[in-house]
Amino acid sequence: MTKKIGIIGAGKLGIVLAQIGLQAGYEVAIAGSGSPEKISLTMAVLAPGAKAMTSLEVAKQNDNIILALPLSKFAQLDSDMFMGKVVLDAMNYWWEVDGKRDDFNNPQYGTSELVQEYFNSSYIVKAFNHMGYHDLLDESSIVNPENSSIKAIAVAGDDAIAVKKVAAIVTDFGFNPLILSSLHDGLKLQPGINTFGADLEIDDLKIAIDSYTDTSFGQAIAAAKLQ
Amino acid sequence: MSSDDPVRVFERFATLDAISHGRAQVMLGRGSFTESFPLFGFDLQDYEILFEEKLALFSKLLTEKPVTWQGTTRAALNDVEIFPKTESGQLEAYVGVGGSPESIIRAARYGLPIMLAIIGGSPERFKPYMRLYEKATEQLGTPKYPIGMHSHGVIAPTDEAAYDIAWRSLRVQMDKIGQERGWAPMTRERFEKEIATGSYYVGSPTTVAQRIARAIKGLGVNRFDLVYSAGNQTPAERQQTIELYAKEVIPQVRQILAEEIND
Repeated sequence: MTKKIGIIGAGKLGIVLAQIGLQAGYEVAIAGSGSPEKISLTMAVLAPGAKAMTSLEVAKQNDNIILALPLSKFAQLDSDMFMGKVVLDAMNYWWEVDGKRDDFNNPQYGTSELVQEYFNSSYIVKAFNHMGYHDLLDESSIVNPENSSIKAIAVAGDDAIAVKKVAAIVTDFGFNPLILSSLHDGLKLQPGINTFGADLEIDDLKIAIDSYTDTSFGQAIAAAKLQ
Repeated sequence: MSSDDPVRVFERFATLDAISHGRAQVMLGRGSFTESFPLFGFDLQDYEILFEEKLALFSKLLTEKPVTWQGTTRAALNDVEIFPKTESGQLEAYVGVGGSPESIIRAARYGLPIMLAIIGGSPERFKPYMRLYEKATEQLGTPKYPIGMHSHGVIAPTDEAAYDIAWRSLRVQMDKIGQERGWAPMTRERFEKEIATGSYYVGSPTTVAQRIARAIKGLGVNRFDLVYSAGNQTPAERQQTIELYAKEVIPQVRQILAEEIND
């Protein structure tokens, strides 16, 4: 049976993940912020084969969904639209787009935890957030089999089965999954940590995550843990 | 343009065009830096509508005929003339795009040419966006203009001298922006990759000419703009880049491209 993936968000990241998914043999469904017609030309040219539909249809037709919309927009989706599904959170706080948001920059509470709190009937797993979207396309060993090494994508979630499913998707997409211990640990992959933007092999990514206290945001995370 | 006023933008550029004997060119951008939004009382939530409306109005202003326009982001215009007019009757205007497919389709919709802002990675990455622009103009029945690109660069008499300047100016500036956005600092490996095959045009005139010629051919663009002013370069260093670019790089690029056509 053909594997399926749904993507919410048809911007730079959503399109790249659609391209990789198609290359990996997945059936890809994607929704932008407007009507499917609005993105149909973009998809036909940039990710031919990806099916443009509404976010509701994407949710209905897929068990595994990637969130690739601006972080400040996720609460515009229905909180129960992904009920029982595995949701990959690839979003990041980007203040140039999201505006200044203290809740997205909180060392005590990761943005993926906010996403989990909102979609409380779904299994949120943080993945594909720390590598730049252009790098994702260049580094995927499925897209570029001639690459000399396989790069790592960190995966952070609380539900073991969901994490396992996401790790399999990461592998299918041409990366090595590096599994962190909890969704909360996804804090170590956020902007302000040296892992953000990381385009590394698995051992180097591990080192980068372990040295998260090198930055001031990392120190704030460590301090929050002790409280 | 999102946080500026299209009428004022037109007035300023039309004035510049007159002073410079028709050499003014406008690069319109939605704004990847949004610091100006709160400065002038705009809400980031209106990011899309601001640019959409202002570009629509600006494309009308470009006709240099009486303009009637109505929207939500500024006062309406009812059959008004905007001055000064340009001597050529058409101010040269482009839409700068950084890889947002929406921006590309929007530029095609308003019949404006695009400039690709390529600030990192292999320029070939932008090929699909060029195809998108072409397809969009075909579908919308709007003119298909030649496409341009811009990238950062530093030119000096030797590769080493240019490298040193770029390392302490361009890299530091990129890291500063990255830090503000939570991005990890650039490694030396990454910096060197950008110079070798990516989007930093750093080196001696011959090195830079070869890289630019390769990018122009690889992408099939018709125009290349060098962003020469990044970071803490001294006026003398900036002037050096400008001078070498004009006197040595451009003729060499033209020669390389001409030779390949003759081959």
